[in-house]
Amino acid sequence: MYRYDEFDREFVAARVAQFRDQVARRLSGELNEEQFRPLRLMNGVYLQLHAYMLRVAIPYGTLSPRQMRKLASVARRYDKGYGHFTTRQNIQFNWPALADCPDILEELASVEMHAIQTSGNCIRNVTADHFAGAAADEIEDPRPYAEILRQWSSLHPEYSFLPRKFKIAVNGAAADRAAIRVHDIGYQIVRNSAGEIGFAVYVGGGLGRTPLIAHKIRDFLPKSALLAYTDAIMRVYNLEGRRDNKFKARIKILLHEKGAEAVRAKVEAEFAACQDEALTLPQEEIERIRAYFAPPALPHRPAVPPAFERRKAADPGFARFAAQNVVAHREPGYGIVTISLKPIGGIPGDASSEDMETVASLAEQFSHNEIRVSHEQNLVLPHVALDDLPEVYDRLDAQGLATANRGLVTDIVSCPGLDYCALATARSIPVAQRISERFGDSARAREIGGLNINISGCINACGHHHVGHIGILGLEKSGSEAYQITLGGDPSDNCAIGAITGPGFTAESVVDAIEAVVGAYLKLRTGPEEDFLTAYRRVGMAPFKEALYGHA
Amino acid sequence: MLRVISANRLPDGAVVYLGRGGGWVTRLAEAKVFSANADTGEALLLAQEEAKRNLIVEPALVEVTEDEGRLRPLTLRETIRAEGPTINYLPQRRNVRGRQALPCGRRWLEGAEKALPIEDRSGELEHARLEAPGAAAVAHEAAS
Repeated sequence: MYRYDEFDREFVAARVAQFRDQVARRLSGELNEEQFRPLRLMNGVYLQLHAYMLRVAIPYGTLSPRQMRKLASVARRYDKGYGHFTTRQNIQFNWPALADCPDILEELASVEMHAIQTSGNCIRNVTADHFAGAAADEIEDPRPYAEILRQWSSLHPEYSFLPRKFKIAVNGAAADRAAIRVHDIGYQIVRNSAGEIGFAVYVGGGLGRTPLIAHKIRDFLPKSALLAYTDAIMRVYNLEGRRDNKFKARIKILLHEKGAEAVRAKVEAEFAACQDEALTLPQEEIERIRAYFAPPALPHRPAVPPAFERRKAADPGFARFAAQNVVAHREPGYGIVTISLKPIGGIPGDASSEDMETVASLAEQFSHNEIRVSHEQNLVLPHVALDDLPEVYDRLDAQGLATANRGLVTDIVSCPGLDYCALATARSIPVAQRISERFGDSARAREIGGLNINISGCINACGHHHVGHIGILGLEKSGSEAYQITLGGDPSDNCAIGAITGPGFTAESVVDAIEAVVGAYLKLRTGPEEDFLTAYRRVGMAPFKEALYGHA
Repeated sequence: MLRVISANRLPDGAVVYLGRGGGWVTRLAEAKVFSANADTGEALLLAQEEAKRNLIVEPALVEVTEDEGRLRPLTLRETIRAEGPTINYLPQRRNVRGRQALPCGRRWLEGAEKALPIEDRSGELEHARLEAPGAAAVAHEAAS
């Protein structure tokens, strides 16, 4: 994986020193809150309901065991012994003291991590497919390009005061696992008719209060033009994005108001005008960065691994885990193992220091020192030999981390909601916990099959409810929590924004409502092979409305 | 309608209330209560002065009610601010299948014991500048 060079080290260290000085000036009274707020936000420090919150970037979701151990140690030393993995490949610490934040950032810098640009109106953490570099369906590893974008955009003076925040995702596989169509820019690695690899460019997607799906503005962009083209998009946005209204300031609104074709033409004109600038990526530089992400040398393993097969035949629990949480690796005899952070009745995305250390040890021993963090709030061991899976499974199980529910109804994505967040209008986590318990019987969850439930505690949609197969949005209505349900959302290749079922539900009735939706699906599906989303697309909203409200 | 004045403590963000004795306390039960028609102007001015002295941030009035001798906030948001998250968030308290009892962060436990009203920590804040400009405005920070 990527290692900081001198330049990276110096700028991260300089930022820590600056922030240390800023915190000291705030605590001494030299800076007031109004002056300090933008400074702390630029370093990922929010003030939430009960405490400060520190959001740390995990660029393109890749972590080394050393970094994971550092996160565990920060959680133990400066927080309450846990962290929360978010829907944008970040980790949030919920209880740090402001006075400790500079020390935390210094510790993180020692393992090449930082919180720069995890907040504020700048280019945020660049995200990527969490199976990158391992997946069987991959055209090329997206992470070198995400890293190039990270280096270029970090502390970029022209793009530090954008109209609004800006999110970029890069996907390198045939299947979109990075939700690129709901990002400000989504880069999809493609191969053109000449066999060259480049990017299809999607612009103007986003969730929040105005969910919109990105428009493809270019079918093929050569790799060498990645930065020049991104620069052209950013310049058009920086000049034309609305600064008069925070709620209309994202690039998606610019495309919506001016039209995708008009924005595309402006971007292409800007790109053409800047062809001579120094942003063309030399092939050597691409190769230099790619070398950091070279796949590990995986020893040859039998395609039918004997220890794996024996355990699978003897242990139904293990067989379920292997079937549900392990997907195909491009090397025969290996698998990509998802570690669910969704234990039945648990808090989605939370991991204790001990959980993190267990995963770090397993990565050292069995996954070539690599860990991934998914935007679905799970962890991933990307390179596990299937014959090692029995031991990996046993050790995960001993730590309570072997829940075999990846992609099932209990693998719920949830924002922190009103239990922590100053913006939230309703709680998310308790709803997730109750749904998880309701469908906690693993045989029932498997019978239901692939079904993503996403929960957000306010209209800002950090829980990505618009793209949940079932989405739940928590609102406040006359002083009480109310939950709106959407159906048919999809973050992937056939990206869709869910449709609202109708009137919302109370906190007491929302879990029954979800059960009614699932019950209706089970009744109307053509068979177990027709998953929820396929069935919804076939039959539409009416039968689900009938199940929820008693009339079509 | 009863009201109290609440804020977050600057060094650690903890929820505090203007106490009956005039300092900032972490327990709602010890908060100074203003009746429906009481003039809160002076107390709010004091709170804003405290914000300027960098003891607290974002002071605001919070509506409460008295229920069997106990103060309760009227909204869920303020109830959660007063009592903490409604979930078992600490790893060792999570009632989750397969979870082991896990030790809590040493540093935090020490901090919890020291969760004192701000006047008891004033020694740590002696550099606070009395005439720091501008009261803290209520922020709306961007979601992730």
